[in-house]
Amino acid sequence: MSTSHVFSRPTSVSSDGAVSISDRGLITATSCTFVQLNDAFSQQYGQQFDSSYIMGEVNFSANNSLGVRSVTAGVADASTTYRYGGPDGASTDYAVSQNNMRICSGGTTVTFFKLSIDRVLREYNRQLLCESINSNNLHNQTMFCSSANFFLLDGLRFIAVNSGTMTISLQVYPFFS
Amino acid sequence: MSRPSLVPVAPTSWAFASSAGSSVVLYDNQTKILSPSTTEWVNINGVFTADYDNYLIRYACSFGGTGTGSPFLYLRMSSNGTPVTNTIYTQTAYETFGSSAPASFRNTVSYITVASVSAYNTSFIEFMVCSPFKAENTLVHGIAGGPWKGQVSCGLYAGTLNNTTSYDGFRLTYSEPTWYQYGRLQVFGFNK
Repeated sequence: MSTSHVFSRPTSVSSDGAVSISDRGLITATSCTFVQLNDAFSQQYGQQFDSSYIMGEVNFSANNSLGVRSVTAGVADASTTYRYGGPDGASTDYAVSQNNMRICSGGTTVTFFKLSIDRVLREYNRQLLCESINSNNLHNQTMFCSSANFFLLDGLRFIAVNSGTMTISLQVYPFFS
Repeated sequence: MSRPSLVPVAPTSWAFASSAGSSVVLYDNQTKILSPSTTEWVNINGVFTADYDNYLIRYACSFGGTGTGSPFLYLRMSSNGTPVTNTIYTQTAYETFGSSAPASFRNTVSYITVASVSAYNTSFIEFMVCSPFKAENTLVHGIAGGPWKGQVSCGLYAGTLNNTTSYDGFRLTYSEPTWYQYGRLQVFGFNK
């Protein structure tokens, strides 16, 4: 029987802050500006998977945004080739051709996010969707979604887009087909 | 291995708007691929059962056609292959096209919008269908995004069908009849 939604554990993680990864793949990084997952989408339990969720939460030292960059063989792509768009809960928040895909905004309260990844391994055109919600009403953003195309993806780097640090925890949940 | 929270579900049958679109491939014994076709709509029949209350549907789809503008992809609930086409769905959405300002809509229509698409690109659509088989109000909500005229579109969509009818499937169709769709569609049931 096929199964879905057991955890996946990246081969390694890195960060400019303190970072850890549990046996079950829960990644936690504190006082950092980035955390990077390497080889996170290859296989688990001997099975390949080509779609996954990343569920997580982030808390910034000040109002900030969380972005993501594709990683290939441990190298994050910071080129301005990302095209993303999506509505924000309060403003005309959209962008194209940035050096990251923005996946949520937040401040000093916890923001939850769900990143949906499709076709990571099997086809050339990977797509990411993200939904997030936070309770930082002062920042006046309660809902966010975005989508983007990624290429040559076998890992992800999560970055604090603006100045300041973040505490972030996340976990990869694969879809086995 | 632990008990899975999501279980792939195989429909009992598929139906298409044209014979050219009848090439469905069984993939990994569970996942379906709709091969490139000229199908305007697709019915997924017998996929909702008493085994699960709620479902997750993921559709990586490509679109094409001779129409103009930016068509919407609609969902209609169905019983035994017959979709509900009455104007009894309520829906709301919040979406962005490229660099345009976000927009929203809310109305009563004969479908539930699940995506806004652009020609010859692949979009990714993911939505939940809650309680379709339980003969109680059915709720659909999800997210869709993809390339759009050289930029990107993204939206959040939700809709309801408030009645006590049990539905065993759904139809995906277009706002414009000259467009077609193909891709990979997966249905998962949430384990109870």
